Amino acid sequence: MENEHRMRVESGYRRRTRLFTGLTAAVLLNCGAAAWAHHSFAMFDLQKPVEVKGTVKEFRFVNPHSWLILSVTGKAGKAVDFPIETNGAFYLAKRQGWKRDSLKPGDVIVARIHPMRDGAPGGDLIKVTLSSGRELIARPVPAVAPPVNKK
Amino acid sequence: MMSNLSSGTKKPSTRTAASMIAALLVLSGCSSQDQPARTQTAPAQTAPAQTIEDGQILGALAKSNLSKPRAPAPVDFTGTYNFKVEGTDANGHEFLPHPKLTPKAQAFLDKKTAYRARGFEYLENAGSCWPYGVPQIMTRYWPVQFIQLPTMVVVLSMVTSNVRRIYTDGRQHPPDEDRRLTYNGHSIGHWEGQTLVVDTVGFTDVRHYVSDGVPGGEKLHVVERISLSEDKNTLQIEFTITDPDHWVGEWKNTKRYTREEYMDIEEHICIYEEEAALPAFKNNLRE
Repeated sequence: MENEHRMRVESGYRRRTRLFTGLTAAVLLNCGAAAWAHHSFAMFDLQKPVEVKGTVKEFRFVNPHSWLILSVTGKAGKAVDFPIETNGAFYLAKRQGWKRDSLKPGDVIVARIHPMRDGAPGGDLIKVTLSSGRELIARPVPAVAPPVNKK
Repeated sequence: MMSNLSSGTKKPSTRTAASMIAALLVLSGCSSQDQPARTQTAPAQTAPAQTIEDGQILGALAKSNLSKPRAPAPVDFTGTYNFKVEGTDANGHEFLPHPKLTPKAQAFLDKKTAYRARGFEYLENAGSCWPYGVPQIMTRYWPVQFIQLPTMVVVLSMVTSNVRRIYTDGRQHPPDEDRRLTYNGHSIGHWEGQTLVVDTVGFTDVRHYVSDGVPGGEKLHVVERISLSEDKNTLQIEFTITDPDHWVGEWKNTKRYTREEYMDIEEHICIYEEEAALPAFKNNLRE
């Protein structure tokens, strides 16, 4: 069972690797761990946040993780899917005031993220700045008296 | 520190005194409705109710089990609670410091730590939709709900929509040959004063961790002393866990939870294919 599971895991890894060739990010190796969500954050660089500008292709407001796909123009001028995950809808709604339609396909946004430590496209969302200038906070989530986004 | 913490370890003489006070209250004509919960009930150390009928264990929700006469529970834990992070966000959910680990457990932790230093995750459960299990489902980022019935306490842990059943109807753990090895184990509870003492055994050793990077196995034994603060707004669980295959002696840690009056829990199902498409998944399990 373990082997079968591992094979599934690794085939998933290969699929994503093929998908994300072409974009790079300067990433420094820093060990970080956090328990914000329900899995490890070892793969994100928590010390070097970066900003990524793109157009929202898809936004899923779900548990355990909400996520979005940004269409980002890469070096060669070609649009590339850039996957970003974030907090579960439960706490985004409860603590940060997000709604299901906080991000809509076609929205042009700047996403501040913890990038992947290995430089692959993708990251963990810290906040979004909409074209209107409005900010949507995603992380970090303070344990007490968290900020609530203003409409 | 909560004021009722010592109540869970009352000595017999204290219990006797409490019983006498309760008896005096009854003799003086005070009806139980007039008294706060803490004075109406002597700390219950009643003999376990019989749960065998026709040679079979009665279901916890069987009509005849629910309707058996029992001493009222000293505390009602029913409520929604959010884990209180004490320490940093990164370590507040874990049981730290570690006790002396056995070479087997230390080797696993060392390997995981080495992977993490390079940005990889090693055999991590949550991101690949394996169960957390007890005790970790009690110490995560997501809320828990306690639903207390006369015969069982149901604990719903939002993380991956987990359910624990703590039997308080007097039953014992099943004999070894009848045990199913599971991630949440088999839990039975009894009252010691105002404290619910939960004893859990019957764990699997397949990718089951008690704290970040420390495995638990078939010898894992979890004891939780669960109490509520005087104002009923802080739930406290004192964990004492043993597993001679993985660490030496008793490993104790106390966690606290804040009652949430404006919160319920939601569906939280980990779907492997969804997780596999997320950025964080990419470096999990990579050798």
